[in-house]
Amino acid sequence: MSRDQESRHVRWVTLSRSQPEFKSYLEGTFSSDHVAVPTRTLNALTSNEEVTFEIIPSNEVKRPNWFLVTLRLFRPLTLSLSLGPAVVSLAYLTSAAVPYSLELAVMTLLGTVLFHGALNYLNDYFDHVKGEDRVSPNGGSRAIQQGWVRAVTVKRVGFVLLGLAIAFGLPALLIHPSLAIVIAIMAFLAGIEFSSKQLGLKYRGFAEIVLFLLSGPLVSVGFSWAVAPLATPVNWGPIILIGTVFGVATVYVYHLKNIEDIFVDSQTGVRTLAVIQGFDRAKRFLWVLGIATFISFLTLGAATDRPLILFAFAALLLLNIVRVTWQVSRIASPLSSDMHKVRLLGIRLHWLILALLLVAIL
Amino acid sequence: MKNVKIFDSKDFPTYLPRLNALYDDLFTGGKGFRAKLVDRVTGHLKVPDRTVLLLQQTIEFIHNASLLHDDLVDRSTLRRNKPAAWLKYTPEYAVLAGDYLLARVMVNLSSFGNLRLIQYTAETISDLLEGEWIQDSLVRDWNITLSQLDRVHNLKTGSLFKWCLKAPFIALERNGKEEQDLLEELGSLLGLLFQRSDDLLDFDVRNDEGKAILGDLKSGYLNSVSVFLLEGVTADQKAAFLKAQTLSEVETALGSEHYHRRLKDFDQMNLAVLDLYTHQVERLRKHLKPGEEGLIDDLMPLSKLLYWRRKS
Repeated sequence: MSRDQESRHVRWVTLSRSQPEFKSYLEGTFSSDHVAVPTRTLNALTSNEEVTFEIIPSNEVKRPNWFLVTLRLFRPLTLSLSLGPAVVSLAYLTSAAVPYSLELAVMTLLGTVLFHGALNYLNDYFDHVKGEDRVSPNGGSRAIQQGWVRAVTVKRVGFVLLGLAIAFGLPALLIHPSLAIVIAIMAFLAGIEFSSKQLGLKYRGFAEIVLFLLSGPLVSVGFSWAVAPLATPVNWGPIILIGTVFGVATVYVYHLKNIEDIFVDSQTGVRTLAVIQGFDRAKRFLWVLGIATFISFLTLGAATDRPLILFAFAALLLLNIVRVTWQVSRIASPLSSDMHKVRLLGIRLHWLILALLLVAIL
Repeated sequence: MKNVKIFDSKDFPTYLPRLNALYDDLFTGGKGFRAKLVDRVTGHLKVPDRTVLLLQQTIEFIHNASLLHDDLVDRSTLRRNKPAAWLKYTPEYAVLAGDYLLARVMVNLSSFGNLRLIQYTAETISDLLEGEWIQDSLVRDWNITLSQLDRVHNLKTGSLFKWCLKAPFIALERNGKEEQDLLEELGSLLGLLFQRSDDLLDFDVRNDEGKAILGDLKSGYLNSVSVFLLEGVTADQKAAFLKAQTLSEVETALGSEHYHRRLKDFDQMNLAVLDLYTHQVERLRKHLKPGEEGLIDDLMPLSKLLYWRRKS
């Protein structure tokens, strides 16, 4: 239950998932002038079977303007995680004087931005449907939980964004049908990622490896493949290394989030690498990921024609990695308020990598 | 709620007189609220008297073991207006006496032979200790949120309330998931309300039992009321609040108008939790057998008794 919810006089409805009207309450379509907000639970095991909704007249919900709600759902703060490898790969192609199609590049980048939005919208919707956001305090934008927007709207917008993302990516696929190979690999990995819980792969750090590939090398290679004619001689080494830097950095940010969520994940039986490692070991493993990010950055420097500037930037990056990781290592509890602050610092670190690489390469 | 005699020196070895003396001090003067809550629930479920006593002893032993350890961890010098056990009998004795109570819980429950009850009780003790541990790690965390505190309190305080509601059903081998989940939610809500009401005592609100003022704040711990009061204040106001040693200093730090308005808002916020509790208690009706409906009437006023600190 949010603070706003708690301060109002309320009415409650409890429904089980098997009841026919359940979906209409969950999606917010049961009424045109009321919203149904599922109450928070502190007990992981009671989130699924039955849900108690707080019924609030729509006009009593204090919601920010629609632009702020949209921004919150879109999560532009984490855009560097999706866009970073593609943007820097484009910068590399430009600096290496590799001919490419500007129209395709712009369309593919726009497609990536839209895909980022679609993933976040749909993630919020499905967390709401599965009841995960009733237990986890850190997940998603919480726009649905605050009653700012109906779940069904989030779902619809999510699918529209997904459709647009596909539409923007389609020209590249039509021009380079061979790109389907990269897309197929990415789809396959994403499929395994989602089913890895059943296969038990997620429990062995598999999620981190898949995330590394999906947010790193596969994006940089796929993007370059999409925009540059196949006949063009491209030095794939730096492209793969660009993806590697971003892939490792994204895993760093993801692990940071998992450390913050370790308490709730343990309660709900979600066995992330951080849960398996435990709080202290997970914090130590963050050093490994930080050092791996730094080394991949250095390696990229050595592989490009601008090693000096990249080495100089590597020092700046190292300082920031040490700063964030050191702060995490000093936190006494996953419930500490500092945990959220350092997660934001982790995202800033990712943006810093994007900025440093862009400046160095261009 | 009727008074129950939980402590009997015959329950403990007579050859350990200091242990008995310590328990005598510890169990005298306590409200025994949790035992009374067990009594309320069992009274309607036709639980045999011996089982009722076992359940009441179990919850009071766990609770008092936690107090023995808690006072030592917090270096609290008073418990129930008497010197804390660690101070009167040495810290070593306080730790051992707490451990011994937890051991007795397991001895007594295993004699009863309900495996699910033993397992659930062990989980409860584990939750309680996790909550204590996490709470200790949050000392001097000045940016903690209410949502994070609720999570800690659900372990530390809520776990025992949940036990009081669930254990009688488990003792009768009524382990239906739906009803256990519902009782779990009810226990959480009671724990939340009890904790928030307890946190208000720190600010001398409905503090009939004369609890030390600003004890949490002085120990470097922001309780739920402190967190709520600090919402929307400036950095300077917050710094002054954190240094406050008296209520008048708190009022000066935050501004009288803000302080009193936020205290009212705090009650207002909890009215919705009270309302939700009422809704959830009503839902319990469908899980009860004929003749057990009185439980609803007995549980219904509990949240208000706890939050508003009413006697009956």
